[in-house]
Amino acid sequence: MSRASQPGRVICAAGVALLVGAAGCRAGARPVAPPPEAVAPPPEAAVSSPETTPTPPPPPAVAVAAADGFGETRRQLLLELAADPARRLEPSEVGYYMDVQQARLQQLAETRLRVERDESRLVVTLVGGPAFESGSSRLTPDTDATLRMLAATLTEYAKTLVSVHGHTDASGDEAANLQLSTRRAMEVAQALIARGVTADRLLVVGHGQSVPIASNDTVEGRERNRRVELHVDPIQR
Amino acid sequence: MWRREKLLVGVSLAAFAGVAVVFVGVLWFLWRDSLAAEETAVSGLALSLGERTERVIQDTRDLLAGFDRLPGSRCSPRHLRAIEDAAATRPYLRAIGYWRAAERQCGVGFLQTSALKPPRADRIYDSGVIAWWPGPHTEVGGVPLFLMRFGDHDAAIDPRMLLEFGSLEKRQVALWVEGLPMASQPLDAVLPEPGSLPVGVHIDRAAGQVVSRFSRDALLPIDIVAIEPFANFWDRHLRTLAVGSTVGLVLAAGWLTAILRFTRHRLSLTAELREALAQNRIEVHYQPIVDLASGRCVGAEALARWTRSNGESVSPDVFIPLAEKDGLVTAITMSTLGAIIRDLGRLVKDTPDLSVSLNLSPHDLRTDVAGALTERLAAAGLPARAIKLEVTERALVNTDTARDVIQALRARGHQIAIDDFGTGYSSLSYLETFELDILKIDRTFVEAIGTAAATGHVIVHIIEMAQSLGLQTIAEGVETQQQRRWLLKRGVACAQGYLFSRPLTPSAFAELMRREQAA
Repeated sequence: MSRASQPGRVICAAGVALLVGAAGCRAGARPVAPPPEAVAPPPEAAVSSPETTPTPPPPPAVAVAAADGFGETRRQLLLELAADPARRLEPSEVGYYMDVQQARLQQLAETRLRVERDESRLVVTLVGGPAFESGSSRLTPDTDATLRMLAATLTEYAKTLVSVHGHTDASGDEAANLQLSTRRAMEVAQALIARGVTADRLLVVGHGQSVPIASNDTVEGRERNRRVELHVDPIQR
Repeated sequence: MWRREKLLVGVSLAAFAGVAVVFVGVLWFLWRDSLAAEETAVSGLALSLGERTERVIQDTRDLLAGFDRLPGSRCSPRHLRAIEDAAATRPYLRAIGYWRAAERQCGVGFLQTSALKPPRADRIYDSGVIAWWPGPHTEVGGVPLFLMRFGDHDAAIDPRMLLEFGSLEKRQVALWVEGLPMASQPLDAVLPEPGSLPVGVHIDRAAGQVVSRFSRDALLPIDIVAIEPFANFWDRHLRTLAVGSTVGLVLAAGWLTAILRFTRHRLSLTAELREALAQNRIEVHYQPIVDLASGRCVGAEALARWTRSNGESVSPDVFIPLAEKDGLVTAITMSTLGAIIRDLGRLVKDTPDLSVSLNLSPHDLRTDVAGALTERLAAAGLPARAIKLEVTERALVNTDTARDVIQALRARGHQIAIDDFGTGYSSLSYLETFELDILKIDRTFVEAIGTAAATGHVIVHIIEMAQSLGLQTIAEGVETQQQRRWLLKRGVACAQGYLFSRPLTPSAFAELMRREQAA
């Protein structure tokens, strides 16, 4: 089961390992269209407004936090949720709960998710190509399938708070990017709700271009910076 | 003499060194052999344990993946039967469970409430397999279990079963997988971490144990650490070592003892002879020589006798050659002469036709005994004719000195007898070149008288030859009247032997002479 000797497993282009037994490495299914930001400055925010898709209005309200104060919001939400004994984890359970949830996500990750662990928090990043159709906040079909799986796991492991963080690259207008990142995070949150995740477990945060994880000077770097991260925290007192 | 002793000691030391080297070599070989056997045993053990562990882990993973793929609803009789079947055929599986998140829904083994949820996984693999190594949090009924979960199912493995082998042979064995302790035998054994040990078998003298480590990295990195006290190691291998070394030791000891005893005997005998000579303890007995025609005693042969301090009588056949080799023989000759003068000086002086025969060794003839002899006789006031000198045939061979010495002795008035004639190499013509007076016929020819043996004819020739050379003859070893009559008929003048008398002590001989003179 060590990395090098695990049979039935291949390393895909995006660097995410998966069991071939569960599904193939679907690199070929990636959209051929280049990232919209790379080919179409003016920023996508400007283009997206005339194209806005008429999505059905989401019934439950999802908490939205500003990029600079989301930590406090998250703390508050966790406290509220932990008030219900049926929804919280006992301290002794947290380790096991998050361990098996991480393993489950890694098992299902395919090429589209990167799963990382930070203490008791799970950080799940949507990777492996654009999650959204060009210049819009509509999810690509691949992302849709990934989110279905993600939602199933989050529904099974219900004693967590899921913070959805949207990020863009540095091309275009900073304010517009902030809006776009929030909209995309909200899109992912709504997609999860539509697949069974209760709205009160979700928190949406838009960071714009403020938290790059790679250089914005290269195409690859910008593509890595355009991302949505899910921070999964155990609900506990 | 000292060169000889040194040689003997040197030979013994060399023999001892050789034996020691061979012995050490055998021991070294057996020791190496034992270590190699141990290495083979432990590496074989490590191989089979490693393969078994890998097989069990891989099988369990495949099993769990298979449960997730089962069609139909969970916790249905069909689902549970599949789980039960799997557990029944795998004795190392203590439990299999079906889970929703962190809640065990159903399964076999354990009670529902005692489902294990350790707080921290040891490994979460990219594939989604998660594993908890045996430890306090995985303990059920005092046995720490190895837990594995993949998807919705988990399994608990009793790691003791991974080590359940008949071939451990009282060794303490620990199994490490991915650098984490998986199992040990016995359960509470504390063994060193594999990282701190060299690969292979080595001896920990400080702790008095044999420590082995073998690693294997086929599917999983697996280490086997085995420890056993010297006592066990010896128990297993000492039989070979003991048998080998005992046989070697016994052989070596036996041989050394034989050499040392022989050496000591020889050394001590020589030393004792030297001492006996110094203390004048060499006695002389006298065997009468009888005139065959008259039956009267005409002389005696002086025979040296040595009785050791422990009462053992040593034959001249033993101590004369010893004395010859060590240069003591002239001392014996002179000692004997001294005894003759002391014992019979007066008797010989009073009896003009009585003479005593003294044996000279070949060594005596190579040195000038003539001077010493004359001196002693003169001091005692005895005439030279009173002492006849017997030389062996062997002493005459190849010695011009001998010829000169014999001439000198004859010139002083001694009669010379050749002893043991016919047993050596000299021919008649050779004998002619010496000036001799008497020929003694050896007892082997006398014994043959009246038998059909070929030597029976030889004595006739010897007697004829002596007569033709004008030599007087004395027959030795006469024991029967038939021999006496035969010798007399052939013209042999004198004889000695048990028929007349055995060798007598000085006083007994003096007594004999007194009676004859009285008669």
